[in-house]
Amino acid sequence: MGMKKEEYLKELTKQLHYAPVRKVVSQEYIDHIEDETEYQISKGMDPDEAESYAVEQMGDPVEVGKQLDEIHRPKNIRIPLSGIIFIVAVCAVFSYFMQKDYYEVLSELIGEPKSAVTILFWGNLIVSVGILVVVSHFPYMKLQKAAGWIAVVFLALPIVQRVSGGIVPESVQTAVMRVLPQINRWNTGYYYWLYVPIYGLLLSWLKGKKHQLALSLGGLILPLLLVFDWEYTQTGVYAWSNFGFWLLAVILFSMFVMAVWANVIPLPKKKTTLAAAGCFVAAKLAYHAFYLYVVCQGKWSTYYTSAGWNRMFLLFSEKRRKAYVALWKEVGGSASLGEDIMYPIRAIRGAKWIGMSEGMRQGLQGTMQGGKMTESSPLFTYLAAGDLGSLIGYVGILPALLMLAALIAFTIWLMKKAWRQTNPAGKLMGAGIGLLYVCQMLYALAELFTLTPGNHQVLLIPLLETLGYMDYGRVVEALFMYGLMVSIYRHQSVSGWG
Amino acid sequence: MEKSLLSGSNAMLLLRLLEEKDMYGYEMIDQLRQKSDNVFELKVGTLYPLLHSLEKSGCLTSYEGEAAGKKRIYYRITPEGRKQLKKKTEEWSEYASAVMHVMELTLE
Repeated sequence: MGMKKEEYLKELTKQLHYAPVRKVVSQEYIDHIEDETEYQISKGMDPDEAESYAVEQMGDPVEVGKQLDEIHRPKNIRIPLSGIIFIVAVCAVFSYFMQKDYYEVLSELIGEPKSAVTILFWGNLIVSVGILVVVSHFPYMKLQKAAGWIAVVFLALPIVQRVSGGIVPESVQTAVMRVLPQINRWNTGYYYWLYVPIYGLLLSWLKGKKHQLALSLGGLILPLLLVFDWEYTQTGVYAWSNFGFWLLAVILFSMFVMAVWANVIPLPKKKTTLAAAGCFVAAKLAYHAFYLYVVCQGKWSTYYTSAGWNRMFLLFSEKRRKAYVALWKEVGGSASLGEDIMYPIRAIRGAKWIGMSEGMRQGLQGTMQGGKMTESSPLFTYLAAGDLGSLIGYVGILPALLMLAALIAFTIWLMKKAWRQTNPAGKLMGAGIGLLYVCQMLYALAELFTLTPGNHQVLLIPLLETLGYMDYGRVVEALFMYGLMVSIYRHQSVSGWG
Repeated sequence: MEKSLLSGSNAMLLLRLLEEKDMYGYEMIDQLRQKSDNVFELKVGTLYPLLHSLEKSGCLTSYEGEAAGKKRIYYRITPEGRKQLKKKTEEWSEYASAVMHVMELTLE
């Protein structure tokens, strides 16, 4: 008698270094041995002999196992992980030096001595990078089976929060804010970026299931309804907001179309693409029509300024800048408000290839009182947000644009790797996350040159958030998402079934 | 049949089988044997590494299906797989034709 089935499988799976794939391979071999055993029994063989015969037909378990191991070994992630950590390190250095000018204000605001702020900065950075490393090693395929539940819980949280008036007690929020600032903004903005990979998981999980199309569309529409800020739409000043809604809409619509092209959703490819684009354009036009004719009561001048169109091309026109400043003086009731609101453009005036711009230097000198920056200074708020303009103003054009180009190129590379793999979850998650960040970075670049309406202060790179103070959560979120992309890269040889 | 003649063509044969319909591993060995009148006896030790390798390269996808009430891993050819099949078929035809010419044989 030859090897027993269990002995064979043990020997075979011992050769597979990557644990998650052992179960899948083992099951396939068990199925084959069972089929062969049944066939031999039907030909009159004794059951034990039939199983031995079937096992013998499977080949040398060590040799076969080594071949399978070669195929299923996860890719080495040294290059992508080193790349992202390098970019994070550069961002952290920039962020640290930019924050040094207003560390005093940060200390006063959060009630901590200056050294504690520094510790918080480095602590936030270490936690963020730690999350990146852990997530990049996690086999993302394990999330596939629970995709439906993950989506339901994720979308239920903001609904419950709105209905119940908040699920997190204030005392808990205050305590958590010491470590993770802005946690109470969970139901807006960046919370919904986390839905992007969840939607990718959901679309792949729904493949071939009942009501696939309806559920896929429902999974697209519901989060958009939740993130849409009706209050902003009805105000006369911030109508150009709802940036989060529109960007999420672009990403989710694109992911739906990608799912069609990847044969996950059985719909005609070109017609679906045109229909999705048409729906998005129609929605945008309807939004602006509503704003013009209902909120602004048909007054073009009100609409023009409230919708933020007057901010376009400010960089290229002195006349438009003067009109913009005058408007804000009138709206804000303050002589300095109009000047202050121009800081994003001032910061890059006299920009240098390397080094601080004249605009930034004058701004810093102008807002320092007794050698210290004050919290009331709009420059503080602007710097604290950390966008492309402030980066260029602080360190120069060359380092800022080089870093932007490196991150865009790196993100696109990870997207391409994700799209090429066979697992639809990895494909859609990776492409969706990559598209989200590339769109943000390109929008930040367009905003720098005042080619966009409104003043979203889209952060250049979420990695450049002001660590240690305002939106540390965005850094964690960005590194979590990039960690997912690296995990998808790592497991491209190891696909879940289906 | 000499092993060397089979080694380069196993992938082509599997892709051709799957071009007709989705199959699971055991079914492929059985079908290959039947269609070749027992000339091709693909070893199991060769089959699964080859299938997994084809899936990794994007020529196949896999999914869980049912065969006679039992769950089995089915394989399906992809558009990339069809492209590769066409390429390998042309290479094989060229090779077979060259051999025939050298041996001064013609097909009946």
